[in-house]
Amino acid sequence: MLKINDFSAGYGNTQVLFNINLHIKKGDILGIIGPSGSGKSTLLRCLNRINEEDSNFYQNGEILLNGKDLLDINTPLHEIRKTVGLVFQKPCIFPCSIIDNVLFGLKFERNLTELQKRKLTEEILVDVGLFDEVKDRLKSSAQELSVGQQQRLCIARALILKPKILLLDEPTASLDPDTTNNIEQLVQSFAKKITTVFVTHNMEQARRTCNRVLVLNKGRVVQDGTKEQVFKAGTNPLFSSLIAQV
Amino acid sequence: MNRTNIDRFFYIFILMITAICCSLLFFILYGIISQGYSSISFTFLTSPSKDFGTSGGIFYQIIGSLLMVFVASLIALPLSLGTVLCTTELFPADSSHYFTRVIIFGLNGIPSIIYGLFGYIFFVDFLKTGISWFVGSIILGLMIMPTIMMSSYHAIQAIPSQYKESAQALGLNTWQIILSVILPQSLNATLSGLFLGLARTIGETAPVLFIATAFFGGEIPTTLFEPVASLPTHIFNLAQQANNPIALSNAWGSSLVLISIVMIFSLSSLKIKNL
Repeated sequence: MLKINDFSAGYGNTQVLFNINLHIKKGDILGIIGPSGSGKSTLLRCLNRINEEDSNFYQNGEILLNGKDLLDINTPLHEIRKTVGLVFQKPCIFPCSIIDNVLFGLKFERNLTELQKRKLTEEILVDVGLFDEVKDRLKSSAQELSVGQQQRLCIARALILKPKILLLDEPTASLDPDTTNNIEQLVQSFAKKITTVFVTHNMEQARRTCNRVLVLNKGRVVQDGTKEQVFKAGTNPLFSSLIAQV
Repeated sequence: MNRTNIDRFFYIFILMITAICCSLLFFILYGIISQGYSSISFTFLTSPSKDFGTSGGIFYQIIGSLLMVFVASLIALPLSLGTVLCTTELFPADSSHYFTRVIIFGLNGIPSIIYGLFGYIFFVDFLKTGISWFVGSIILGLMIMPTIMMSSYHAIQAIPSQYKESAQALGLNTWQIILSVILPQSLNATLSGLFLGLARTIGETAPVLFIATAFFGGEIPTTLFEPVASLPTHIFNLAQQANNPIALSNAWGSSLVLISIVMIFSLSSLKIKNL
């Protein structure tokens, strides 16, 4: 489904990623782990080309989604970003109501009636397990929600665009264990429909949530395989020293 | 002098400076209110002036001034916002930020009489528009622009980058981000800048004296290229007849009305900024 071929990237004079090759199948939950500065977030952000907003950023290689090159300059960025959704580490809630936040990406979608938008919102909030908590206050400010609810709202906001791939950049880094558990279950629940790429610092979380794991170190792939393969390989000294740094 | 005494000294020093500034403002306001209060009446506000301003009211002067600043704001607002959005969103390189700052400070530093002179040479003399309230609005619009640009520029710069990044991640293009994130987040500051600019320009006499206003008479204009009566020009005229007590009293009354409009604009600016 998603193929990354000989992909390198960096900022200015600093190269961050070196010759990355990766093949992600439909329905995979790929966890990217590695020490700080290993290029995890850079790789993730390359997949929906958000890095290109930085004028110093450069990249070369190929990222193919169902055979279509995502790096093709003729493909509109906003189309790629609707196909490849991205949720950031810190939930960013717009200063508007819960319903308006969920529908933010559809704000300029003219093919949907207000009723259809409302129905979509309710469906997606049910999917992320937030509907019961907010059904009576959909028009209240989303900034009044707890951080965990805000993060689920951000996931709902990305999912409502029906992306083929969902990118999650350490989505539980600022959450308590219960909320983290909720998000992990949520990711697993929609794995059948959407391919997920998940950056995490938490080894146990990668083991619990993902079915595939990619280990990066200094911008290079150190390990890539099913979680059983990767964690079994973790007996080698290089992997063990990396794990200690994660 | 120990630290406590130094703190106390600066505290008293700052209090004194504040008191001097406030006293000056209250002294001016008290002077205008006490002198102009007796002239204000419903008839004074709603009837046209007669006999070179020594009788009648200031109805057309109020309408003329408000008309000019209203059209000035219609001209200045889109131009200022367009310039700022162009700099911050479409060409966000350092050089364009520098260029915008040069324009803002450059326009802000030009004395108002130079604006008037430019209006006279370019519009009245070169384009042969004649004395026109619309030309006055264009010139006043140019004068408001730096204040609006400064306010909206700082407001846009202060929008958290996460908002923009999240909107980009949701697939919104540049114009959609401007409409859904940038403009709503900077609207209050922009309108606040507009009202502050209006408060400044409605009282300007020099730029409109020879290009837009009628010294005497003047009604509601029916075309773009007619002069209008305005409050600053009216006060200027009446002040030249200072030996006539009725003219002087009307000048104070007109000043009180002008100051009241300025205060309304200034307070609106503050209110909108704090919304």
